[in-house]
Order: sequence, then C-alpha cells, then structure tokens
Amino acid sequence: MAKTKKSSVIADAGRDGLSAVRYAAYSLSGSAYVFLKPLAGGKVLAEFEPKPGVDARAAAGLPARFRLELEDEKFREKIAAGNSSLREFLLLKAVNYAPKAPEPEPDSGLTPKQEKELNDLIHQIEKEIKAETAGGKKDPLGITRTWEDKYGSNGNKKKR
Amino acid sequence: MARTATKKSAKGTAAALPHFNFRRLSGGAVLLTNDSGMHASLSGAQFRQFRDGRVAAGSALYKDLAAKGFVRDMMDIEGYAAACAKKNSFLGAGPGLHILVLTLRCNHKCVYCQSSAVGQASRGTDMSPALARKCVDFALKSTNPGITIEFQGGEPLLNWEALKASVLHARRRARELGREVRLALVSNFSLMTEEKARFLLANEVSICTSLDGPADLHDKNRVFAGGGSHAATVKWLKYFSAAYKKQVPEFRTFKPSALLTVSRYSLGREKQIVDEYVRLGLEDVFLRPLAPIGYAKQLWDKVGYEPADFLSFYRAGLDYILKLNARGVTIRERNAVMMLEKILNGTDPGYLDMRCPCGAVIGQLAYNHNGDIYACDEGRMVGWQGDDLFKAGNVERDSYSKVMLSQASRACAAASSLDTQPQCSRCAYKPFCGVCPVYNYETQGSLSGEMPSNGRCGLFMGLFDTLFSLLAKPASAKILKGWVSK
Repeated sequence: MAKTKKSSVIADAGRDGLSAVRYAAYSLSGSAYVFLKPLAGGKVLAEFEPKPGVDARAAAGLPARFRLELEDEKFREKIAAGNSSLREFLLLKAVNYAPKAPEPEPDSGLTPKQEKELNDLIHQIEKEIKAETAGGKKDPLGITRTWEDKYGSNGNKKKR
Repeated sequence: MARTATKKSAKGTAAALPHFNFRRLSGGAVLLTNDSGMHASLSGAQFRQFRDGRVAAGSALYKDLAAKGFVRDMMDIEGYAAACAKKNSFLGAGPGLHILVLTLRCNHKCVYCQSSAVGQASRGTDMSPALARKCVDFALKSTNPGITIEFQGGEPLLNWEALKASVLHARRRARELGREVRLALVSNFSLMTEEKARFLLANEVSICTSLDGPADLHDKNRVFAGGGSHAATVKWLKYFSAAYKKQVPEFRTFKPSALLTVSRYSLGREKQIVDEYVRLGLEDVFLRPLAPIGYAKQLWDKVGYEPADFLSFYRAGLDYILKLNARGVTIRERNAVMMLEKILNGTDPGYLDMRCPCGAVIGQLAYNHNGDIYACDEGRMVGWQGDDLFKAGNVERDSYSKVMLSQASRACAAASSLDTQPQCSRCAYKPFCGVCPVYNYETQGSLSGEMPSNGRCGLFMGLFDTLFSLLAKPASAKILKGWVSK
C-alpha cells in the first residue's frame, strides 16, 4: 500500500498563541500524527502524517482543516478569556442553586424589632452560605452522606 | 428578571459575547450551545454576524439568541443558573442505580457477551441470599430518594434463592423506611416459570429482557444450548405484556422492556429489528452499539464494527422509525429519546453513560457476586479480567462513605468531567454528552482517553449530528419533539 503523503503548515505562534496552535493540532489527531516543530521568529511548523485508513482526499484536506481549527480556536480562547469570571460565578451559583422563595407580602405584620431580627438572621445565613461555598467545602454536595446521616435512622416513615 | 449590570447592547467584540461552544455542521450551519443547555442553530452568515457582534439589536435573531443566553448583556442570570442546576440535579442526589450480580453463571453463550458470564455448571460464582440482603441494605444507604435495584447476571434466574431473598428484603425495608424502591430484573427468560413470574409481579419487579431482532438474528447472537432463545423471550414478553394490560388492584404492573445489542450480524437488518419490536407491542427500541469491553473486546474481530458502520445502521433505523411514526405506529428510539430529553427539556434522563461526570459511583454501584463493589457494571467486567482498577470497595468490609470516596470513584469523576477533556470542553455537544472512563481505559489505555481518535466519541458525535439535522426539518422535528413532550 502506498504511503499517504505528509503535508505541513507554518503557523505564527507569536501572533496566534502557542496554545491555539497546539489545540488545533490536537483536534486533528484522530486523522493524523501531528508534529509541531519550533521555527525562528515565533513560527511553528505543523507536519501532518495521515493515520492508516485515512483516504487521500481527507489527507490532502488536513492543512485546510488545521487553518480553520486554528481560527476557531483563537475565537474560543478570546471568548473564554473574556468570560472566565462570569462563567465561574454562574456555575458556582448553579451548584448552590435553590429556587427563589416567593416575594414577601408588602406588610409582613412584623414589628420593627422582629423585622430587624429576621434581617439579621438572613444576613447570618447568607454569610454562612458564602463562607461554605467560597473556600471549597470538603463535600459540598454531601456525596459521602448516607440516608441515615441525611434523614435519621427511621427515614420519613411514609407508607407507600 | 435579573440581568447583568451592563445594559448596553453587544459592542461587536468577542468580549461582549458570553461563553458558548460551537460546532460547524455539514451544510454550513453552525450550532451554538452553552452551559445552561440552550442551543441555537445559525446559518454560516448569521454565525459570522454573531461572532463579529453585528446582529442587529431588536432583530428576531437577536431576541432568540438573547432568550437563550447567547447575548452577554441580556443574560437572565437566575434563569441560567436554574437551568444549569436542573440539568445537573443528579450531582448530589446519591447513586440511584444498584446492580446486583446474583450469579456469573449463564445458560446462554452470546457471541458478544459483555457481562463476564461463566458456564451454567460453574461453582463459586453465586451470591448468597445473606450477602444479597447486605447489598440491598448498602444500596439503601444512598441518599437518592428513588433508588433502583437491578438484578443481573449471568442469568439471575439461575440463583432464584438470592433473587427472592433480596426482593423480599428490599420490599420489607422500603416499607419500614417509607422509601420508594424500584426493583428490576434483567433476564433471558429461559428459566422463567409461571410461579416465578407471579412472584415477580406481586412484588412489583419490572422486567427487562434482551431481544436482538427476528428469530434467526436473535438466535445467532444469543446462542442457547437448550433450544431457541428467541422463542422463550417472545413467550414471556407476551406474558408480561398481557399482565401489564390487565393490571390488578393489588399491585402495580410495569410494561416489560427489551434491550437490543447490535452485533456485526445486525448491520443492514435495522428494518427487520424494528418490525420485530413493533410486532411484539414494544414502544421503545434501543439501537445500542456494542462496546469493546470485557469479553466482547476479545471477540471484536468477529462481532465488532467501526463507528461509521454503526452510524449507517442507526441513521437507517431511525429513518425507518420516523416513517413508521408518520404512519401512526407508536415506536421510539431510546438513544434519541434520552438525548432529546437533554436537548429539548434540559432534564437528565438518568442515562448514566452520558452524564458529566459519568455515572460511576455517584450515579450507580455494581455489586459483584462476592460482595465486591465496582464503580459501574462495565468496571466490574474489567475486574473479571483481573484488573480491579474500577473496584470501589466491598459490601462487608467497607463503609458507604469509603466507597463514595474510593480512588475508583474519584478517578472516574475526574476523568469524565468534560471540562478536563481538551476536545469535550470545546465541543458544542458538551451540555448533552458524557465520556466513559472504562471505555477509554479498555480501548485507549487511559481513563481520560483521547477524544479525537476515540470510537465512542465519534459515534456519539454522529448521533448528535443526526439528531440536530433531523430537528432542523419540520416533519421529523415534530415527531422527535413529540417523543419527549410532557
């Protein structure tokens, strides 16, 4: 069987970023062995050796696929960099998500003193939740707890 | 509705876009998805506008993208977090599926056997009734409010005493604890009797069997020395279906189900397989690929196939199922149903193989006949070959907490978290998909594997591509949406 021809592309890691070049290369690794070789001036030579079973047409398309992947990866990295804090916030919020309680009635019927006590209690709980989630609690989801740990030894004793 | 602080519209830079993944589909369309599980399909031109921040504020496209969380300045933070929480609600629920391998003995010699079965006359591979009860007690330690205890083998009916003991014990403990416990039996039916069937029905054990298609195909895949495997399967499927239709006030009777394993012999026979399911009144067919795990790995040259071969089979099968649906026949494809449940409803359908992290330990536990606990049933099959990498503990020696914190548990969770996978973290199908550390280990030698050359990844990508292309067509989309509408 004739060996499929190698192909190559020169990428500008100085301009595009080495991590984008590496990922674009990685994404092709199902179809080819990809060798990255540093060149002068921040350039990188990406060489593609098609894997067995990859047909000639697909092999010939490897450089074009690499360029497209590189463009897409640069875009992904830009999005990721611009959103890391927001994404972290959203996912942390999701992990600790509890459905919002209904809005309280305008007149709570509480005395000013009782309202203050309630507000203090809410602040205290919020503080505790914040402290628990911020530091990476050992088992925040309670994965190691047993049914008895969570509900007591008799469970909820409901009859089916 | 809570919005982010900045109220200005997108400014035309990527920084104004929120985090999302995208995939270029054949035909030029681009699929966008985000962590909340929302998706949008754009034409190539629309994607370029979106990428460059040129989608006109107020346009229908802009409103659609904003509603789905793809416009950073218009994000509904509460709604986004709620959707993320909903689709990941299984994370802290505790393992829901508990597989009790009552025996490794089996009276079948299936060509693809994945369950590490041994011959019917073998000794030392049956679970004792006492140990079976301990396994039930261990399963009941899970904080999951709706656990399922599934009896498997080998052929579990070969160890009837342990099956009976564990069913009775589970029912008694469930009553005492006031807990919902689902019991399920996976059997080839060859040893089913009227007496056993009545016991199972009376104790609300749901029944699942294997059905690989019409008789010649089924019997070729599922070799049974005692006669035709297909005949026994059909006989008892009809029996349990009749019981389901009849229903009695004393107990709930569940509709029986069947599992299909696609071997090389099944390829090209998708219509006959689907027809057989329809003929037997089954409303779901699971076009389930064979995985080169356990014994099947050794037989791969004989019964295995490439992902592309399976995808051709799958597409033809699904196309046929959609045509039957259009003619008013009730039949659904299980892969599609589970994926659509995630894509369209944002809920987790309980398919442990496609979760992130995977179902190993946090979603399921497999109890071997000797009390050893594995992260999943596939991990147990690897254990049978002498490699206990996926062993999480032992029912008699280890605490629940120790099992949950075992190395197998942590390694599987870490390896199957898609954000740690270079390709998956960038993939548009990430919100709906999951990797299998056992598959990766068996086929690529590491728990994390390497997705660009991973057969399972290629297969799942193909399934998702197929579904999204069908969702883009009104006629097929209507049927598919109907499968998961509440």
